[in-house]
Amino acid sequence: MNNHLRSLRAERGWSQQALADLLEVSRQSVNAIETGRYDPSLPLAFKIADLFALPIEAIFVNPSQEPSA
Amino acid sequence: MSPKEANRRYLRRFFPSMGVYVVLLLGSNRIQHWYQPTGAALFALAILPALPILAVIWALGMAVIEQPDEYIRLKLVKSMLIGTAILLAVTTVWSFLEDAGVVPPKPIHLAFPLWCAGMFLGQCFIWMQERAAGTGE
Repeated sequence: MNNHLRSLRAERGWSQQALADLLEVSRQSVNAIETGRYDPSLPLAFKIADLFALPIEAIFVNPSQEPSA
Repeated sequence: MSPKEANRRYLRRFFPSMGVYVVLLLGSNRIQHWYQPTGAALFALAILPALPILAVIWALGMAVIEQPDEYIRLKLVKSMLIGTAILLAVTTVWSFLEDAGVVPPKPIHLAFPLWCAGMFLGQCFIWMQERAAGTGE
């Protein structure tokens, strides 16, 4: 699933490790989510949304609303 | 519990179990060689080295259950599935060759080491996929 996690993280000047520490997950997890290789569970997605104080759909792109290639 | 703590906990279970396995395997073999026990004593001596291996299997299961990081847990389960697939593939092919009398009977005690080797290959494969994807930093 595409997402805006990397740009949101960059806006705050956080490294992947810093974000991972805030979310209490591994840096590998943050990297996998940012690169779209892993879709987080709903609880983790909510945790990410809470951390950035944004709704989930402002971070993760709804696949059904993505423009088709 | 952090992902690192879960990993440390697994290693704290794995290494003592393997140490006990080596001691029991050597001890059991020596006692069987020296005293040539029979019946229940032989049964007990033969099964003793298997017990720490069962402990390792339990530790692997707990490593999945206790891993708090969902992505690392997924990678662990994926590598276990790859290990299972390799074990099933090798034993299936071996069985047909064995039926045809081409190879000797399956060394069943090697099933778990083969599964572990397959799991290790699975972890290498996943690691290479991650490297190819880059760090994203």
